[in-house]
Amino acid sequence: MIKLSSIFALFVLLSFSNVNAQLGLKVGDVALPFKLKNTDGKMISLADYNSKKGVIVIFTCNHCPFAVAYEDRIIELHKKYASLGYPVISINPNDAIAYPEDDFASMKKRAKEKKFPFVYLHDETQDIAKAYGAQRTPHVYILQNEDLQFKIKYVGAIDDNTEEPEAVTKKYVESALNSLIEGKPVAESSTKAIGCSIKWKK
Amino acid sequence: MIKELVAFFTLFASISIINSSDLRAQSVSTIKISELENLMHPTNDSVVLINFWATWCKPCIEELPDFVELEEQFKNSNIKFHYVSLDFKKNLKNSVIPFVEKQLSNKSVFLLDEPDYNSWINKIDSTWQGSIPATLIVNRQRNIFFKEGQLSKSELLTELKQFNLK
Repeated sequence: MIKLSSIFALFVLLSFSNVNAQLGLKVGDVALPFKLKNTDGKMISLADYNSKKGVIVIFTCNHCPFAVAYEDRIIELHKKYASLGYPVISINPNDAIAYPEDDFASMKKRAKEKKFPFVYLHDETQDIAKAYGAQRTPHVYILQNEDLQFKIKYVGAIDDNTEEPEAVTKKYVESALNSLIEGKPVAESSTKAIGCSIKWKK
Repeated sequence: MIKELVAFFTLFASISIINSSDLRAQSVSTIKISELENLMHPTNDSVVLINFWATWCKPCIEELPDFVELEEQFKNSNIKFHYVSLDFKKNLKNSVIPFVEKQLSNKSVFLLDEPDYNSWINKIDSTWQGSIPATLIVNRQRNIFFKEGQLSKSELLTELKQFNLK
């Protein structure tokens, strides 16, 4: 009998984690807290941002050309919106065995080279990316601090042109942030983009 | 003298034509989403497989040889394979074409020139989150197989068999 119930519990747990992996967090959901190592060696948690209006969580990495194409734009996003209460938290969830250039040492190197003004966290267990439902790099989640509860307000792409920043016509993340700052609902709260698939550990 | 000149010019012209047709054979056409949607809607009995890939995508490069092998295996049946690159347009000449010459020569290869991904990803499949590789198999009856992520040769073969290829 005990066995049966533990099998049942395992089954429930498995189906739950499956759902999470496939669906992840949606607009309106409460964001999962995390505590991950930054490239400076310090542990950073979502609760460290309790005094902020919100955060821009971006799953990204070193190796992906689409992530690289957005590096300068992510730096600009942080420069523009951190002072308005929405700093960037970048998170690398890639399996460093599949992509050695995504290991922690390489992350430190890249953060230094590009002088990232934001934290660059290592999701070594991939639990956070899985829980959020991140599929690709870059993949953005805008979180709004509502009475110390961070709620998802936007999921998706940074803008509508990865290859040519000068040809961008729709800045999805900026539009969403501007709406939040003005206290308005986010008009386009979910978008899709092509990106490098996050490599899950085997 | 004039005759010689004409002959020389003709020879020169024909060499350039041969050269340019060689180039054409190895080139990869850029297409728009409307053309891709046409490919996705076969009007006859054929089955269409569309694989989304890019030269920088490691799992894509890993699975492509299996696709090429199965395309060869089914070359006399009613299935058509298309390989749609999502590389940047600026990398067409320096990365995509050299790769295609080596790995996908004589295959139906396109580069999709549609930078506003959000405007078309759902047109391929509403479940697609945008990571590659991704593979679509479809027939006229709109039986659809869609997979986001790498496919093994046996998985692909199993899916192909579902389409009762002739």
